[in-house]
Amino acid sequence: MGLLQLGTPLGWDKAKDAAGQVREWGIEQLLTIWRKNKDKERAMLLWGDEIEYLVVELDQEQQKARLSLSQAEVLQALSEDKELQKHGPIVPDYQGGEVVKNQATLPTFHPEFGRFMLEATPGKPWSIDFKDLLEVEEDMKLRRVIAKQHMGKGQYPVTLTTFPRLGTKDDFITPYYPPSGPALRSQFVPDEIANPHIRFPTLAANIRSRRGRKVELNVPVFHDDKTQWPFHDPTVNYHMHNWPEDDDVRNGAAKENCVYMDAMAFGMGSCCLQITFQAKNINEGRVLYDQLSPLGPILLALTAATPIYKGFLVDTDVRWNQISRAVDDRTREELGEVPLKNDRWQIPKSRYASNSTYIAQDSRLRPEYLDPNLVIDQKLKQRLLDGGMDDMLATHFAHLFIRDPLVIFAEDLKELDVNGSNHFENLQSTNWQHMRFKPPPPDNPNIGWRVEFRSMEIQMTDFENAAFSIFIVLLSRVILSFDLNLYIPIPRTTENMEVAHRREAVLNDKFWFRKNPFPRKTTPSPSPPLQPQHHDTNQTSSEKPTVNGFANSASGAHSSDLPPVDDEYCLMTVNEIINGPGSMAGDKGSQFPGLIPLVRHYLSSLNVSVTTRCQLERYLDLIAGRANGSLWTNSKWIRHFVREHPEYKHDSAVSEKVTYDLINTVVADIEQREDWSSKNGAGWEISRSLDQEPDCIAIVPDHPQYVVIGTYSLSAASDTPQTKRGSLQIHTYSPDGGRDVELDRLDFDFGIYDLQFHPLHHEWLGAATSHGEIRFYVVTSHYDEVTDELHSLKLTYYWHVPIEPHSDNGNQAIITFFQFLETEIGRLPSLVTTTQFGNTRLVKAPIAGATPDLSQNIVIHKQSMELEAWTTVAVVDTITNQILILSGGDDSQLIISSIALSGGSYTEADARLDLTRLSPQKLLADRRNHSAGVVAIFWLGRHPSHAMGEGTDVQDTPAQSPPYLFLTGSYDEHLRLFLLPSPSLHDQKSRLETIGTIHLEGGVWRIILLDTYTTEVLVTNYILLIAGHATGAFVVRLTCKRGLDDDWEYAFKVEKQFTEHESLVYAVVAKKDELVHGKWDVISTSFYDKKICNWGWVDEEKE
Amino acid sequence: MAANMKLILSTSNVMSSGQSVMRRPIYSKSNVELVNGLRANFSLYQHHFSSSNNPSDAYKQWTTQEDNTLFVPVLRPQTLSEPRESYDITVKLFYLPGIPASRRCKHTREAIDLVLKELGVQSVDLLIVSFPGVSFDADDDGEEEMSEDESASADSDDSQGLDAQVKSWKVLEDYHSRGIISQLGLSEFSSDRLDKFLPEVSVRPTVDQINVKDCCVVPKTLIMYAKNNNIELLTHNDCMDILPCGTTRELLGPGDGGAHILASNPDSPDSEPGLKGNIEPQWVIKYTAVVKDRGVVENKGYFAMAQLGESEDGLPSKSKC
Repeated sequence: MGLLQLGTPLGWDKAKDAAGQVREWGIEQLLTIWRKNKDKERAMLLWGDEIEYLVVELDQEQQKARLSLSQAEVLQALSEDKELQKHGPIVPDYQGGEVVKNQATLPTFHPEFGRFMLEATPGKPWSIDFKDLLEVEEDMKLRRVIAKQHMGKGQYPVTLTTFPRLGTKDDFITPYYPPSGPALRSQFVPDEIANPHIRFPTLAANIRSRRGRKVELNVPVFHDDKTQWPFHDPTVNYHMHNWPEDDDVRNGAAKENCVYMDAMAFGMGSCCLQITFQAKNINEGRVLYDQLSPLGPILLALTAATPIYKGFLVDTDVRWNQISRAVDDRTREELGEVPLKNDRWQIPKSRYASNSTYIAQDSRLRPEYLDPNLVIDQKLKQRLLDGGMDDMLATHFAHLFIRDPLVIFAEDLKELDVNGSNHFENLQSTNWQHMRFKPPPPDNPNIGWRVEFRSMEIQMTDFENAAFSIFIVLLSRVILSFDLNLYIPIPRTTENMEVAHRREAVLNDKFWFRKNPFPRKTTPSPSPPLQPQHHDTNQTSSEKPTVNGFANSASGAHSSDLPPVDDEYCLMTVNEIINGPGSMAGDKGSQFPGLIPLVRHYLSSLNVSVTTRCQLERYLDLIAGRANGSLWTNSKWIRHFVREHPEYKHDSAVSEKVTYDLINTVVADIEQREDWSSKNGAGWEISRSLDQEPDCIAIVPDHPQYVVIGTYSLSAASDTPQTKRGSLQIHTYSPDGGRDVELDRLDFDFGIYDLQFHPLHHEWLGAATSHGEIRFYVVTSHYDEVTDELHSLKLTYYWHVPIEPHSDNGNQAIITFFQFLETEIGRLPSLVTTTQFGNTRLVKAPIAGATPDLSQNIVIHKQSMELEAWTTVAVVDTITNQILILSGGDDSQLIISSIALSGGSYTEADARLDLTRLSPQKLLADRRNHSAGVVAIFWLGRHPSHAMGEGTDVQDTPAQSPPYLFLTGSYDEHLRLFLLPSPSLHDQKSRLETIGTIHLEGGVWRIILLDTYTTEVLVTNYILLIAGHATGAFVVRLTCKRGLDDDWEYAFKVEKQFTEHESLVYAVVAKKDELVHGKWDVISTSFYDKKICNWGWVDEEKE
Repeated sequence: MAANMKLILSTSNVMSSGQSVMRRPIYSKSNVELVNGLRANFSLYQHHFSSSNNPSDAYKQWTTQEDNTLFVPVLRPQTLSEPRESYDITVKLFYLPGIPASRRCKHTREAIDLVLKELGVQSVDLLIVSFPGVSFDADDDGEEEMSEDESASADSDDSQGLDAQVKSWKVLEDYHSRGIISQLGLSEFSSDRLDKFLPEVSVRPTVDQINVKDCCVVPKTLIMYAKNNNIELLTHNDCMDILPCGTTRELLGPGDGGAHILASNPDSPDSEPGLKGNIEPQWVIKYTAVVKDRGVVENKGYFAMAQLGESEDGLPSKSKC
């Protein structure tokens, strides 16, 4: 919205008579502007974005969200903020004056049509400098923060396109005003809904008066399972008699199966994302106007965010047509409903519609592309032609000027200021087409010709808004750099605009788009006689440079040489348009390479820094993901939110509570989450590199912002003897954390295979080595004496325990895995471990300094052929008084042994437990369930049916252990769930059956349980983090659900696969994010490429 | 009859032939832009001058020979349309593998001269040099072995050692001191490599260009090193061996889509049309002119030089193409 002029507005009866005069004067002003600026050159690309907000007030007590009519108060508070003012006016409309350039520029705020709306723009225009591009998102976030700071308690700036319950029967606004006022005459919204500045009520009233009835918006309702059908909007009041317009509904204005709305506020109260570019000169501006035009509907579908109107889910996804109808001032004659009598012509489109002209002086613009039904004012066009304007541009403006001016100030009619722009702008700015071509303003010589891209919907987060803004800017550069030709006939763009409204059009529908966007280079003519020439002959002529020395082919081409226009374009999915043909089998005839590949190719032609490129990739990934369906549009997300809400009755109605929860979630998301992408699990992922191959990792328990990483480096196999190296290295958890802390590192001539901190003695770190021993280290923290801040973390060798003797030929065994027992045995730390020689051992580790007592180190069982034992788990079952030891090995065997603890309870036994007296008994050796090595076992504990609080039957049969669940991971690329049944395992040699399985390509090397919780009543969720060996890492959800007859269903689901690793992933670790609820911060490492990757996953299902 | 000849291959402006270079996923390292750019430009000229009745000589219609240098196609400089200061001009010079480092001084001059002439300018803003065998990924895997190779640069190929790199850099420093190149940059240098390189040179590189994959994997050590040494890390997606000799013969040979300049084999019989002898690409230079304030790429292209037959210095060619 431009500066708001003050004056005395004319009612429609007077304005109607002055319309011709305003148009003629507007044309004179346009001619002056055009003459002054047609040769203007502006070397710089400058651009700006506009973000529009709803102001929503959340009433926690009543669990209700209301639109807050506080625009004026917020702007007032902003303009009075002394701190902000130091940087220049922050609300130019209130404070007057131009924004001071070249100062530290804070964003500026502007009023909008709705009294519940705010608009914010950057304080100064952006350039194409990448530093600027990377500031956009931060600036948008800052705008939101500043706006929020100047709002009342409980009020939030929300970037939803529309308020879901605008126009419902309850008090959806605060303060409350009853509907049916004199200006809007709406039965749903009060006049107070609009900005009280005289321009806005006048605009609304004059549209209604010109039209001869209220505006009419009928949006098809979303037909859900329990929606009454046929659907008759239950909120329509057929018995209102305040205004003549109340008859509209009795005359059939409200259509069947539609949500009906009757006021400008339902359209103009929508929030949009608009981008304006300054072109180099008028010609470049005209090219951009034309070339961006076919992209309007595509970007509308990609940004779809509007699934709810007036408290109902609707069957469309975007706002566009609603705004179009909300300001449609056409009479019945102009609409073609009755024959022309008083009006001059029938007009096919509303003032707010897709654009109808191409304006470039471009040899590639074929006459067939133009709109055959274009209505223009011939007289005004002639005036422009007489004034020297070319036909193409004159046609464009003569088309815009078929409309009547809607708000005329009496003061303006006294005298024509030929150097002004008020009359021109009166029509220009009330033609709301999806592209706008903007001449320079007469009062600011610094501004050039501009093009505005207007179709996009506002997105819920600043990350998304920045992504789409920057994408459009980059596209504009791509168009100019590659000299792209995206022309299709204008009526096809009009059709596309309709298609973009369909629910999930972004995935399910096809759009007309040009097949080959590249310049034609085939038949250069005429042939220049080619003299053999000296290669360094200086070019003497001052002619315009030509392509490859030939005259630009298209310029000389006649239409007759060209293929039929209809062969130039075809129907494509948004995915084909955005991502190109490689991503999905599409129309083979299409050569369209995809806009994202084009943008990437463009970026690779520039000097782009690594960090910039990665930032930009985040934005491109969002757009690529929207197009291929891997990321949802806002509309899909909102629709999903409503339909999954427990209060939603599947009858299309969006209740107050659902709306409250929706807005609350959106607000909380923005406050808590850095960006939208993390919500969808595709968070900003970064990697570090190590100097040696990492294979194990552990979080430092007392300083969880640090990890210890164990490495194992083997020299090339050709070296004899092969040398081994390894290290323990402390690193920060996140790549950018804790730079000032000195972090220790120890290097060895052996490798580290596994790492565990002791569960009870947090500072003890056990490390399994390739030298047949487990070494113990202590992590010590040192603090700065003055500041008391952590200064360094040191690793100190403590003692070591030999585990496996040498083989006969002197080879030392790799200790492949170990696990501390949760309880001390005989007051000593104890552990189970597996070795390269196939042994699974139980070890009572001596205390530091004592000579290791090898008798307290027993083999529980052995894998066949002495193939490697890979992993083991020991569980103390206090009910049956036994220790269960499970292990897996390279021979595909899963072995379970038991050690009976004689007499009394385990707690009594443990103190005097002497391993030499134990006789482990092999319960079962299963080799049927795995087709390759068993490398991971994870003990899930009691079956949910016997979980804590439910296990009453345990007391009934004290000799029985409850059924247990455990998981295995194997080289055979499966994760399996097993049930170890009761009664007592001791007697049981029964078969082990897999009760659940999922194929995870690449293998399963490690399993970590992140979380367990219950959803619904009887569904237990286990969230598992998997080191996926050859294909990265996985987050997998295991659900155990009790059916009606007490039978259980077990299901695995991959929640996320992290695929950025290019080598074997051996180690994963995760911790809860401190800021974002439900988010896990994960580290995974890969071996040969020595990478540590940080990534995130958000558990959307956890309450 | 074997000819000894230098061939200067040019793509002209590849921005206006976007189509031919856009066919493959562009994220992977590639030389598609160069190879397709050359092919498209050759065929454009070929088709345009296909009037000759004698197909074996047809190329003479659209190439020029000056002494023993053949320009394929004839040079048609596309000078920049705006004043020089509006542009950011970056060139990247690829010294190719297996070519003796002793030729680099001459090659550098040839390559830079061609670019200056093509764009009609006196200077470029940044020259990035790509040394053969220097690959960031390779360093990642076997840094130690790599550096041993380098120190023992008396190895079979002297062109890959640090000494040769420093020597070549001195040549570029001279262009820098004469104001022809404002800034110098390197490609694919790891922090280890930079650490050895920097003390040896007087004009320090301001840029290190590395290939970035999807994951944006850049080792922290390099990020920190670059920061401390005021080196900007830029991205690129050029592949290591940007113009293999086999590709060159294919481009110039008699096959489908070839330029019909060379015979199908180095030792084809005299009866076969086309020039005979080994073909060995010597260097490639890429140039990009970007309108600074508008982010528009106005001109981007490549020149490549290939030696046919024996080179002037008489050193044996390793090429078997």
